[in-house]
Amino acid sequence: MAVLPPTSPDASVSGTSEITVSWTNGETYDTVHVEYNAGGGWHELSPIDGAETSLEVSVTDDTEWTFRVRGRFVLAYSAYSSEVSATIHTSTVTGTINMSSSAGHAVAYATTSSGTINLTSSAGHSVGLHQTVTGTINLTASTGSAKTLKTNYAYYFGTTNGTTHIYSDTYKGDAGVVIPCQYITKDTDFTDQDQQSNDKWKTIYAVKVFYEDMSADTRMAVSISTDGGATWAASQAQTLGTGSEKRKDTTFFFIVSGQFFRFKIFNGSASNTFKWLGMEVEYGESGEHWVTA
Amino acid sequence: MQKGIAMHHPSMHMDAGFANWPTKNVIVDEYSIKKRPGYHTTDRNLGSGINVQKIEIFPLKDGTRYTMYLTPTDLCQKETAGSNTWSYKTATYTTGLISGVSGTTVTGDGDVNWATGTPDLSAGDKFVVNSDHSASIEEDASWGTIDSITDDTHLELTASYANATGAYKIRKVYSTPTDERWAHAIVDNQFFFGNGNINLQAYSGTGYATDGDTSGTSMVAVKARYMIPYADRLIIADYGTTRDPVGLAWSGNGDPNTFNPTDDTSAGAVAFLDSSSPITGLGVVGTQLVVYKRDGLIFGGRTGTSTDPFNFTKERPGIGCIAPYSIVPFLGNNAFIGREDFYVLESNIPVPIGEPIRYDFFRMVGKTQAEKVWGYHNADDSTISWFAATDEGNFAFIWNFITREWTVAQYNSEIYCAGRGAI
Repeated sequence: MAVLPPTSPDASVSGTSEITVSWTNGETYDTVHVEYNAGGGWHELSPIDGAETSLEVSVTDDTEWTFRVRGRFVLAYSAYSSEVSATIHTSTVTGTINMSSSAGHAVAYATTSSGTINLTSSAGHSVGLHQTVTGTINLTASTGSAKTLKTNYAYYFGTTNGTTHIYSDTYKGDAGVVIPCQYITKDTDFTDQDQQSNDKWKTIYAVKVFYEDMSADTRMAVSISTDGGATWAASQAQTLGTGSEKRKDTTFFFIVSGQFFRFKIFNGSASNTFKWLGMEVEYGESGEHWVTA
Repeated sequence: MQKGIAMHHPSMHMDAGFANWPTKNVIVDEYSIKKRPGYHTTDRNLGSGINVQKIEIFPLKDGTRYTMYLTPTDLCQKETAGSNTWSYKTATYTTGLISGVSGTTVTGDGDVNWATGTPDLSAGDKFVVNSDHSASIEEDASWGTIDSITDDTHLELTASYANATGAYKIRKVYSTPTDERWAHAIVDNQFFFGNGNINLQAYSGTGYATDGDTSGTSMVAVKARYMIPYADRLIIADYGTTRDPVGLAWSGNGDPNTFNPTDDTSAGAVAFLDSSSPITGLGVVGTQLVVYKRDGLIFGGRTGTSTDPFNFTKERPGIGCIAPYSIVPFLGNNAFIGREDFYVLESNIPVPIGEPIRYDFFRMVGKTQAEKVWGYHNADDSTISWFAATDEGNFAFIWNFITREWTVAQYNSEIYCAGRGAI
């Protein structure tokens, strides 16, 4: 009597490099024999117990693996089952991804979706891990809240009067109030650049200020002190700028005599900003200084 | 006699490091001197005369973010919908209903237990009937002030309240010790906050703040002045019913709400025996927990054993932190104020950074005021600002940790805190 062959063979992807071959035994076998063809002819795997109805096979990716199964009872083999094939693809999935939401919730990256992802195959290919899918992926959002992890922030100040304020470059004043900004130099007698001027009086004729034109109509003042900042002997002010953001310079003219000088550059505004790049001083020697009793 | 600005710096070049006092309200920007930024008109007003002590973003795992404010008496949350302003999240008692109000006397129904309930109500706490209250548009003028708690169902207000019935709120206002500030930590989706007067508090983003230590046996996290998240725990210091200034405690592993080892054997505590130098703050630098003391530094590491989680094997006496709120974390390091200088803690080495400014700073600020200096890190400007009240006014001493330049700012208002808020 002929041994009946296995029926309903199937091959499905069960891992990143594994295909599981399954079948239904046609009758009681002593052993089951699974054969494969990966393009190099048929080869038989080690026989397995006759009661088994599946076998996981390690395979190589991107190759079609075809399987057939037969059973053996005593000395007789059954006919082969029909052939089944499977391929593990690692290539990019091509198809259509449809994303739809319900209840007005957006479906997007970083959105919590507790819905269902349906993978549908075509042309008899099973859908599984690392397998090419030529079908449709439907993502459907549930009624859960959209989740967007925001990172934007602003720096705030809190005051002793219960108020909070955003602190940023956008604002040129403190809550609309003028910010008095000033740069005051150390005292100098210019000997670091002109050692011959030591112990001599000088007269300052001009101060040239280099600046970047940040905003229009910016008021800037230059002051000179000859007594270490106790008093400011002379001050000149100009309204500068068009907002062109170009490097510019302007000259303030003075006649101020002394031995040591301190310079102050001042800008007070609630609507403008200013950037100072440097300054040059034009001076001449006024002769030696003698202290008389 | 000072001869020029410096031989190696041409005198007329405007290097901020060679500026003279009072150079102020400028920042050093790419070899130039630039006017500092300002701040906009009022974003929120938490109440006239109230010191805003802390502004922080509280992010939740689900993506929700809140901007939280702490005043000496309340936890507030910024509200942004429509014309909303902010809301109180302070511990609030809502059990039962109001039967009626007669003049200053409020009568509750049988479910209230104002004299014996939780939170422990007292004079000064705030009362409002829900039907009078706009919870997201504070401060609502309807709030009354409790004068005394008569018994479980009666209380007296300091002023008459229109007769009303129904649901109500009693806000258990906090207190903050003089010259001390709140500490906070965000751990396990909770906003923890505390100070040297009140129980550790926790806010989850819904409802109101409640006691943060829910140990079943007895609460340990009482009056926690300092706190920081570390090693999947909440660490607190200077804590306890009678505050231990050299005491440090940690919550259970992965459980910031349990501090009692009886309830969770992975919780614990240690007291540093050198009690001559109190703890003045906590920090994390690299993988180390840093316990700042006034006259030294102690470094802790993780043991990997949940029931004995930390070893404090390294102690560096000498340089400590004198100003608890001057400790500023930035770029994985900490900056702080010691006795004679500003320091950056690099690994376990305190590196002085204040040379160009420390003489002026300590001359102007004085020792008492120096201990009250507070700082914040502005990542956008790469700066750390330390705010101080001086004899010459209120100034911010600003250190740019990229250029290592110092500048000084004087703001129009007295700035009492700074921090990040959500936008």
